[in-house]
Amino acid sequence: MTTFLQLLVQGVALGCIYALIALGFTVVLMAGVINFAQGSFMLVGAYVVSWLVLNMQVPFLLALPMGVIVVALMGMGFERFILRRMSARPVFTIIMITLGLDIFLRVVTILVWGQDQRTNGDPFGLDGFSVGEIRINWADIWILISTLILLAFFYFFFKFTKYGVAMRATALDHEAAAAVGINLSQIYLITWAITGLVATVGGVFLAASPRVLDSNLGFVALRAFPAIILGGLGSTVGAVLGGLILGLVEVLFSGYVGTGPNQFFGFLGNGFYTVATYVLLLIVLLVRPYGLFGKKEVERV
Amino acid sequence: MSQAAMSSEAAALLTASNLTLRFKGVTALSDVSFDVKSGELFAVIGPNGAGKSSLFNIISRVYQPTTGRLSFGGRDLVRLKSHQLAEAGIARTFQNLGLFPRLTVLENLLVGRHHLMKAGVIAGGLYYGQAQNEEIKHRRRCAELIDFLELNRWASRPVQILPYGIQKKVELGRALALEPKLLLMDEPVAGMNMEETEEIASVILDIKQQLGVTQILVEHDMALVMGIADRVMVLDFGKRIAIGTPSQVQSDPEVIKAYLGEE
Amino acid sequence: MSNPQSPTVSQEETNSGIPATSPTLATSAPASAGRKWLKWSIWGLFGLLLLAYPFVAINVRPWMTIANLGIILAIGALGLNVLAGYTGLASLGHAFFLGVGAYTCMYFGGNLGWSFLLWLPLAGVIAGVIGLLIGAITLRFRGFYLTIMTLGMVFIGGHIFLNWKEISGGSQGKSVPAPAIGDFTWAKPSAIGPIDLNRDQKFYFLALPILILAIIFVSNLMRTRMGRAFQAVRDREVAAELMGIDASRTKITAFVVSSVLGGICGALYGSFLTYLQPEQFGGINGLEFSIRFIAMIIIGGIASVPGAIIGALLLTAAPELISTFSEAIPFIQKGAGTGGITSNNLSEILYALLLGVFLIFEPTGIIGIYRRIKARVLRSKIGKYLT
Repeated sequence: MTTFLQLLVQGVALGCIYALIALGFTVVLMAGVINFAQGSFMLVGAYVVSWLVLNMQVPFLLALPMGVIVVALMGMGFERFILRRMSARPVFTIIMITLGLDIFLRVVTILVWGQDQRTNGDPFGLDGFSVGEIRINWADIWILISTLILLAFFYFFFKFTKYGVAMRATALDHEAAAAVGINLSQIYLITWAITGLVATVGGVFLAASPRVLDSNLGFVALRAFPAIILGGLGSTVGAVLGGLILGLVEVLFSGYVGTGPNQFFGFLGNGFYTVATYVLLLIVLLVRPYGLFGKKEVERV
Repeated sequence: MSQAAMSSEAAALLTASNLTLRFKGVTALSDVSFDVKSGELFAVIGPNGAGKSSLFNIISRVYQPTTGRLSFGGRDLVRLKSHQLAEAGIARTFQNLGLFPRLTVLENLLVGRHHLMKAGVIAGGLYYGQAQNEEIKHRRRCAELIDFLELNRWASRPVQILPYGIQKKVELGRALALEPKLLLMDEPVAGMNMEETEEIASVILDIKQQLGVTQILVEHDMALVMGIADRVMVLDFGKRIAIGTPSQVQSDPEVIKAYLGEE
Repeated sequence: MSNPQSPTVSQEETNSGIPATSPTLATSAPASAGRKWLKWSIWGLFGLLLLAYPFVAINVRPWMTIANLGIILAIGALGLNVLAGYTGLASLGHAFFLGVGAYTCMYFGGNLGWSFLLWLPLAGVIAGVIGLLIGAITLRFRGFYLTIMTLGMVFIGGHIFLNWKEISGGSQGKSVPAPAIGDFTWAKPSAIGPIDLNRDQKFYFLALPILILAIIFVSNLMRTRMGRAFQAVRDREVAAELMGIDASRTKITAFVVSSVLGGICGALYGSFLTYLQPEQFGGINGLEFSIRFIAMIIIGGIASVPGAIIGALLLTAAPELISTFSEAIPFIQKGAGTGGITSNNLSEILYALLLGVFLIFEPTGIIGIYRRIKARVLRSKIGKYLT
């Protein structure tokens, strides 16, 4: 039972990070783009914050918003100068251009900051407290709080602000949104800024102790992809729930599935947890082809 | 036997009974019935949003009717999937062009003959006897069609670079390449000038007279419809308000009201 | 090459997106005997060059490796072009099928000791069958869904490769058998008549004919019924269905063709490298390998047979050349810890930039540039003189 509760705590913490990543994917998807460079956005955000704190002695609480601004500007720049000129191209081209950006940003990060591992400069370290036999790190609490704050912010943003409502309208139908006077290029820029925001926060927490920061950090984003489909493509609530489910599944599988002591289903192999989310996705889609919260799209001729 | 007697005695090729289509509370078509006789040039007209395109999309199996029956030469059309239509003998053209932009004119026509050909991946890739004969035979037939439509000078060009009027004609050619019994045309002269419209009108009449293909035409151009159609059906707000010869329809008070609005 | 004989219409400008240089059917006279002769002599010269290459390049590192790897990967790139270029389906899972091919070779060629003549076709067949099963499930999904499902395929596949130790040797990997037919093996040099051939040269003469067969097959396919159906589904699915094309079956067929070529490529690839670790085909590395294939067809020319070949050769040659000549390139690290960037980083960044530049400015790839230049030359005074 203790193990289970301990895994649950870890699962929720990881699930929050996945929820942020999935939210980033979903927001950009509102602008009609799937952003394979999300992982590199997280990487750059985490490195910028780490560099500001450790090399420039900027306080963490100041460094985090600065990192957010850098990555948001980067995202907006990519939208403004590259994506905008590709608007009429097929899905395939858009996927490839973001994959190209992903490779580029990762190599540039290596060139600037090197290959070595480093810490992310957050003040939490490995400090924490115990509830009974369950160990909880302050970092996990902060992940939860930050995620809740961001989710509350987005809830109000999408529900009540002019831009949030315009973004939802755009996600439903770009042409119709343009027809009622929504400035699409503004909306696209905002979506990329939001992606930068959630990517940086997600990246910094992903690199929090006991994990470390290195150039492989961004690959975790690839494991978050099932979240956006699991919840139903384009649904923000679905993405957040999908992310949480993913985190829990991954951590529980890492604890219980394998060939070690007290583990089960050894035939699935060690490390099955890294693919468990994709297996889960496959099963869900076979039963519910449009995800848990998605709706069937009606194709117009 | 007189022309009129012949058409009234000819069996109906397409019969629609009580077609209704609803989307999320919007009724696009309600209780529409009609039949189209073999060899006939049948037109469907109506103001914007009258349900003409919905009707077309039902016949071409893009939409599933909420209720109603549709039979084509004795077959139940509602049961067919859209890729089974070509074999059943139905071809259509699209309002905003349904060509394959990166293929050439000839290749577009050859795609139209897909259901008449057999070669699979392996036969096509190896290109041995049977596959080769078949390919040559169908290319020859398409070349004849290209000739019929006077498209020779464009034959090896990708369609995306051709002028709009030519593309419309290519689309007609591709539909004919299917060797259909029934040809559905969704606004064949939309966006065309007077000269191009006349050219298409003469092609439509050639198709009727020389090839004997039954045609259903959805069109905004009233002069064209009244000039060439054998019978006309008028839709308004998803309902059939009139059906008959062009002169009958033109003098129908309901039709006049729908087009001019209530005084 | 046996091409469809078109009775009246020239096939030259198919898919080029560029106006035909001979505008009307009426004026396109049959090629003169002189031009035909010219064409055949160019092909003959090209054939001779291909034959001579392994004897010229053999002592100059790394040209033989580039040729062999390039030829092998070109087979896979051709396969991906069938799916992504001609059918318009973006797959991030191509490396998975290479893995299936490589492990088929390992199991049947290595564990069971079967002949090359059996395991090579079998690599294609098994990859094709798996492609059929996966395609039937994933191709119900469109666009982004499909892309993410193929991503899942790489991750799940990688996990299976890693854990199926009997075949893959687990995380330390396993050696791959060299092709062998009876007593004749590609593992060591041998003399054929008066000519001594080393291992790389022998591999070249094995892989090149297979690539040529693949080129002929794909070229013929794209000019006949099913190939046109692939392209019709890519361009307009609804219209294609109304031409009698069953779009979902057609997509699955394209997926299978692409998987078969991927499997054959993978078997040869593994056999050429002699040792494989399962990570090469799954997970992050598998994804990067798949992306490299997509980059090949984008840089070479999407939906073009020569494009896939050029892309595969270019992306194979570039990193090999950079690492071989890194001594001569400034700013490159000359040894561990001496500062500067590694040649690996340099190749990666050039690769990302090249991909970006082509995607943004030249989406038709190198083949697109070639076609434009050709059209311009033919329109110019020189062109009029030539024709």
